[in-house]
Amino acid sequence: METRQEYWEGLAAVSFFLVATGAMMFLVLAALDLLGAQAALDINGWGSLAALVMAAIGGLCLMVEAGNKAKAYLIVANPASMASRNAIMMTLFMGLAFVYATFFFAFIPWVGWNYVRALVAVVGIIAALLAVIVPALELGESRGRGFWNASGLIPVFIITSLASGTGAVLIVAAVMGFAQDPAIAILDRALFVFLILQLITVLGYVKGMKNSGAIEARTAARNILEGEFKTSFWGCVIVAGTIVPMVLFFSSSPAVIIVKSVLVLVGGVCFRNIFLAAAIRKALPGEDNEWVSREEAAHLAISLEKRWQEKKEWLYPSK
Amino acid sequence: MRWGMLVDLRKCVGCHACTVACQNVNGLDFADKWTKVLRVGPIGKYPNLTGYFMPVPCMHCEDAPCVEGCPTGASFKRKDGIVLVDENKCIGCKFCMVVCPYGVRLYNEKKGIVEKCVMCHERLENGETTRCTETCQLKARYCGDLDDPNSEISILIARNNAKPLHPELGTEPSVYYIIP
Repeated sequence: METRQEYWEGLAAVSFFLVATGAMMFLVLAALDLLGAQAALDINGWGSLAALVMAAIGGLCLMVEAGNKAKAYLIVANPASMASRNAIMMTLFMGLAFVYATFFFAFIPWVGWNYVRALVAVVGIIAALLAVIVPALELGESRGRGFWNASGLIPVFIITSLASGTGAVLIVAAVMGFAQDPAIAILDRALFVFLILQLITVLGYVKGMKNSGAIEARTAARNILEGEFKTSFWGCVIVAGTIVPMVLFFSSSPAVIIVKSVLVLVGGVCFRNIFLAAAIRKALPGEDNEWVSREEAAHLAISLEKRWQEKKEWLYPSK
Repeated sequence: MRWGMLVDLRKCVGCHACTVACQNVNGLDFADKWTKVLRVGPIGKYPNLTGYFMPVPCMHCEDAPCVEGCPTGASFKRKDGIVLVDENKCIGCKFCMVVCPYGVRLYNEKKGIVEKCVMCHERLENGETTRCTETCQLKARYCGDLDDPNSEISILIARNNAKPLHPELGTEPSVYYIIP
């Protein structure tokens, strides 16, 4: 019986996090621009490029995870699959983020084309939202892993990504010296609201799964709340990634904004890592009685091979 | 035509011969099993205890989540119901392993691709049966056409009320079990 989902861990979680954070970072920046915030004109160029770079690194993490990297381009070959759609959305979003960023650099000829910029921003927002939603649908395709319920994961993914995307925008604004801008102050308050929603949705989802009809979902939720993942869940996701940044809301110095935003990002990575790893598969009859694990069998094979080599050496000593 | 398998768990003694024969014919490493044998039980209360063994190969599902989920189209289902992996298209993303509810796919570290039971399709095309069916000393395994109501496998499934694994998941597996 599985104790954790071990096929997609670490890099996949980082990839999901980076793409979602990059996408929501772009969404927040584009929304600021569409709402007419002055700060948008100053930070959106580099901010959009940062969002693009985050998503690109996320895509690279997925490529590194793949066994046959030379053929990774084939990932978009089957648009009927959610994994393929995820890659397509990611690529589309990155393209739009790049085009959008070009409207903010003076040496680009189309800098003044505000209507086109607004159009790209709107299409980019849709692509960014899809880049966050499709991974939830992708995980929901796993019929044997009851913990991943697509309809429940979509709002959780949107809220947590919004929180980490807003955190990333605050870091960019603080680094570029716009931490005291009125629009950024509003964004800071928005982050507080997103963190409250994150607390409600994440805890609500896990608590809900604890009462689920599927035994594997109940086990996964128990592992998160009181088992193997409890330290990282309560410590990183809830306390460090949500409650501490909420407490730090009451200070608006650039250093505090950066610290709390970094904590939100750390919480975001931990959240994805836990949600990926905890989703165990529905057990097969007798699976918990499997005589030898794959690792044990491999260990036994190595020992046998060593013993055979010793015998061979004894029977036919090398000169 | 839809190839399927039936395992009579009343006969299986858990000798692992099917696992070894499969490893042999497919050139697998010692630790790689395309057919794993699970030990179920002991079930019941002492002294009325029982137990049985359950060989688990790929279920070659009619509605296969691996085929649906594969982003490259490497996992595909043939017209005769056999689910295969195209080595030239597989990028080793392991998503099929994540979505497979039976945990029967293996990642080949050397090749960087995912592999699984191929239901000895070449042997079936040559009029032979699968290697695991052939090697089973207790004749616990049957292989045949599930679409033909007069085939031995269909008759045995109907007569013994054989069931697939986790039918509630809606994958419609092609491997059935006669459970003791």
